[in-house]
Amino acid sequence: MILLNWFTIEDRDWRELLLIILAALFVGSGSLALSLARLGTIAWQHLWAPLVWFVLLLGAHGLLRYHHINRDPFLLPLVGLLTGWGLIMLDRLAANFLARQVVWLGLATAVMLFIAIVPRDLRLLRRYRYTWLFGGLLLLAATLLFGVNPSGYGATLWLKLPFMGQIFFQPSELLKLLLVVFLASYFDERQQLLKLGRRRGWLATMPYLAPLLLMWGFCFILLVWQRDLGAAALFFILFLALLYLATGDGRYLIGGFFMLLLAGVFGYYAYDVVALRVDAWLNPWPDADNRAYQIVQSLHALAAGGLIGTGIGQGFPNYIPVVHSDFVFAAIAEEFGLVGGLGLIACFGLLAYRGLRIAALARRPFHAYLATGIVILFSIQSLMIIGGVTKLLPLTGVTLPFVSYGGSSLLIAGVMSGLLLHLSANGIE
Amino acid sequence: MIVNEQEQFQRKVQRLLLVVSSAFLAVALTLVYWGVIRSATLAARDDNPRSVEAALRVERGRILDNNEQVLAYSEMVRGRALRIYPVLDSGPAVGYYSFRHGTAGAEEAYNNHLQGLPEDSWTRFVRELLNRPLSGHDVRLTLVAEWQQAANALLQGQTGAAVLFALPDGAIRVMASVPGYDPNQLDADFERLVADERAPLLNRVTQGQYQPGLALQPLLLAAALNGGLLSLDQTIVNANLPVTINGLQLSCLPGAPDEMSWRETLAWNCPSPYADLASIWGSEGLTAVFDGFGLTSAPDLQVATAAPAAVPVTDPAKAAIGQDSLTVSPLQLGLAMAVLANEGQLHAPYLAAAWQDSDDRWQPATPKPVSGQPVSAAAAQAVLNSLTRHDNIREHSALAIAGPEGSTHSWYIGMAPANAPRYLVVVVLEQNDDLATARLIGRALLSR
Repeated sequence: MILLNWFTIEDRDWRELLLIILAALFVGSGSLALSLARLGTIAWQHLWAPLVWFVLLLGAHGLLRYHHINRDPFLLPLVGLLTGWGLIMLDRLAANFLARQVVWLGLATAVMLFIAIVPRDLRLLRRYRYTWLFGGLLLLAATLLFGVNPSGYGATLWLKLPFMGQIFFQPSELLKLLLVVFLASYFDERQQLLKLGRRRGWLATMPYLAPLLLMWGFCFILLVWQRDLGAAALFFILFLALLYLATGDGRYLIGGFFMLLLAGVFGYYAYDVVALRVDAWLNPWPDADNRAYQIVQSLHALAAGGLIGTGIGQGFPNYIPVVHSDFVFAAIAEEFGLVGGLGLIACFGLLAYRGLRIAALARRPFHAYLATGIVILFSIQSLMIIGGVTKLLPLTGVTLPFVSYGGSSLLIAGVMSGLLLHLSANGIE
Repeated sequence: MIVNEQEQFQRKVQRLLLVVSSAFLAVALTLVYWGVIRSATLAARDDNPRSVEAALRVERGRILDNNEQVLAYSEMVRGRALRIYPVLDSGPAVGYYSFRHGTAGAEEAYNNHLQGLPEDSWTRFVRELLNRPLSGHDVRLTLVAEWQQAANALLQGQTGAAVLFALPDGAIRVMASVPGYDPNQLDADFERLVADERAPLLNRVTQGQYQPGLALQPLLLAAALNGGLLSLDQTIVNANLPVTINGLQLSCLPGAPDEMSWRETLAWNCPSPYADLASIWGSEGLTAVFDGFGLTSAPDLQVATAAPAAVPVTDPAKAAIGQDSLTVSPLQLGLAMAVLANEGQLHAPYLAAAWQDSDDRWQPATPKPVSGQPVSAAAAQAVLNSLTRHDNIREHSALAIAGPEGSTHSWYIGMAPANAPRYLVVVVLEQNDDLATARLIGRALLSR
């Protein structure tokens, strides 16, 4: 009956609460099903994490409500659904990481609420953009020197935090956020100049674009150094989207696309890692037992799901190596089926829609750029990894926002969700 | 922002949204492509471990003996079905099921039924939608576990086989082959079993190929009687003449007289009169006799049987005493002998007494039609009555030379009760020239 009256619910608080309850029903039944599939009984070991998640989500809702934050009512339930889904998948795929991820979730929720509620405006972000960016780059440079990999092998993209035991942080995640802030602030300031420049011809824009290209090039070199090409592509697309928003010139998009392609071709011939991934993307089948094993197993998982999936805990996604981070979408498609996979894509689509709506309604250009940048980050990241898992794109080692295992990624996603909440409260009447 | 500028900005945001939504749509369509259009192709690929997982999860039906004692069942252990054989020495009739090494015996013969196949399209649709594993149906065999165990105990230490079936319908009660194997340990023992020269994996009852030797005597006698070539009381002079096979001289059992009736040639195991019979029949005639008793074709049984020799007769004189190219399995010989007790009719054997259908109801096996009538009822009865009688058993035993080395194996065929047999047993022991052992085993089985 509540559902029938859906469109009559005007109050955003109640709307948000209803959506949170729906998300909780989904995550709760998922954890019950997992417990039943695993142990044949309902056991605490599969329920505690979703319960903590639910308490955090309700707490967030309560605080936002208490402070009368005039926010977008879809954001919190969407973010909640995605993180909850991620938690039960992590419990199912790699339960030994669950406790650590719940700690990160608590941290991320706290940061999200702090950013949504406490700052009166975001002037600090705008004013010290170079400080933020150089700070981020410094951290990234530090990983070049002191970087480690928690699993003991592979790309050393993490910093071990001092005095905190086995906690690792991935500075490139922070850099994503800082780059969004920097670009938003930069375009806000230069927008008028860029527009004028455009009227006077292509070359005239160069003095304004040059520092930007320099900054971008620096990021790019650092990342190529680290072989984290997914993040490099992500940064570049982010830059292109904001550039388009600032100039309204589609030629930047097309030109940028070719630059990306060029970088890809360069990467293909310069780095074995890239060549391997591109080959596995173009035709994985001949090498299905060896180097294309991961992607082929991922496709098998997609095919195995059918319409409604095998049910959580009842498929075989663990045949995909490191399924809990990069390939969590394949596991979802297998165990929740086509319905689940499309639902997850729809969640990200809806998140993009709400985010861009916030951008469109923003009253300050800086806010609009910031919201757009965040949306582009979430969207491109999810598109890149889902596209990679489904062999639409070559694989890039980015995580699925909110869902994949990974503390740094979750924390930064929390910060960005907080910013979106904050922006929506100030923008929408 | 100025209103006009804001409108411009909103249009750009809208375009961005359009691009982003199209990208999400493309990803969604790709998912549909793999999940629906390519789903079946991918599921069938060798490198998809799910087909293996699905096979490992199939809850196969149980195999029961004729008294509903469980011979094989599946137990789910950590999401995988483990096949358990509670009756040791359940033997080649039950066989084995191994994911790695395949199936044998009833596990092979009724594999589809035990897996729950075929299923109708609706059942399949619902099962696949709900991701349930295949769940099979039970099979009840004609076998009697207790007798089977007794046969194995009697055959202990030998190499050979014993089969016991009911008359007239050919319901197999005992199918024992030694040395055998423990189907519970098959995966662990497989390498050793395959390497073992004594071939423990061979089902000697259906796949063993033995020279029939003089075990053929009652059959040829019945055929000759049926063809009016002789009468049982007709006296033969020089019945004890030796016959030479590959440099070995074969003659009657020690102490046989020179003159005897056709009836008496059975008990004395005299070869020479049968070699003479063959000269009357010739190759074609003799082949027709063998054909009539089903010795040249594999018995109609779902359990694997050996293909019979292509040309059963090359030298009629040798063939008539079972030392030519014709080889038979114990089951084949038993079925042929059963003709004598079955009023001249040849019956096909069977091993499955009943099948459980998809509603868990038992459906009895449909009886097979009589597959032929090689001799008249009268001829059959007459030869049956000519067989040696021991207590309440009609029996015949003979040695056969196997191979050029002159090693022998011994045959025993017994039917009980003597007047109207309801059970028939065949025992064959390899590398054995002592008829007494085979006789002892056969009689012990029939006495049960």
